Amino acid sequence: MSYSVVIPTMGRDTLDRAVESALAQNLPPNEILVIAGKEAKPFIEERSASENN
Amino acid sequence: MPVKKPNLSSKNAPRVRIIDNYSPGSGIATVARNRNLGVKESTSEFVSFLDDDDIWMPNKMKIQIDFLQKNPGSTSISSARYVLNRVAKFKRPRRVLSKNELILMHIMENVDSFLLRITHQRAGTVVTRALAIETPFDEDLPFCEDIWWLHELQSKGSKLYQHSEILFEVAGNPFRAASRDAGKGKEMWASRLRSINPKYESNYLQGIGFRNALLRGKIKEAVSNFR
Repeated sequence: MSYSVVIPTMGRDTLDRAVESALAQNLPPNEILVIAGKEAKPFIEERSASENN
Repeated sequence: MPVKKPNLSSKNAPRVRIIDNYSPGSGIATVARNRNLGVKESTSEFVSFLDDDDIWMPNKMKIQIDFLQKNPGSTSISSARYVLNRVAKFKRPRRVLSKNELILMHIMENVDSFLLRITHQRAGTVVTRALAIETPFDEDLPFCEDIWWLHELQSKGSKLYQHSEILFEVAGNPFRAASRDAGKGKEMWASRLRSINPKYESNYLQGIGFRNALLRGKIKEAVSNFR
């Protein structure tokens, strides 16, 4: 048995909290897929930039 | 399609993939498109949906997966606690879906339910990946695509089961989506509901009229929707 979590995001800053709640499941997920729509672009790019610095 | 490394503090972060869907080609960039892409990219037996402003209870997936393993081909729907402005908390739905009850009837036969949009929480639904591939979300619908999706799953024979336990928490204002009801999305929903039952369409439009008038502070106008 395995399951995936699909999170469509508009780039809200509550995303991390949502992801953490999925990672904290008693039965943990196989993978979490965050799907960033067009409106989430600035948010995701900001994350990538801070990660690379 | 570029896949970016996540920037998450959790030690489990490697299991998280961020997929950009910035330019989904022609058509509207709807949540439905993002959900369908997620299902397509997923590699597990089951798939669950999580909105980016929701929080799952730790036992959510164990309860739903246990249920689906005992009831193959079913659709497992959560109940939720709605937290309004970090103060008011209320459980939705008030009454879970009964056995064999039609999902659209459950939502639409009661005007009050669609008024706040929150009587029936659909985020957090779990199905097999195979079922989600076979029945994708309708990418033309700009909002509440999950209601139509559940209706289609049910129409194709999947048994819908709603857990009465609170399995996730929704933070936000139930009125926030009111503005989305204007325009094309509203027409799409009205037309789909009309095709099922004209009463559902009129309940839907009443609900929108009520909510939008209320948002403008027009109490009398809001109430007039029910005359």
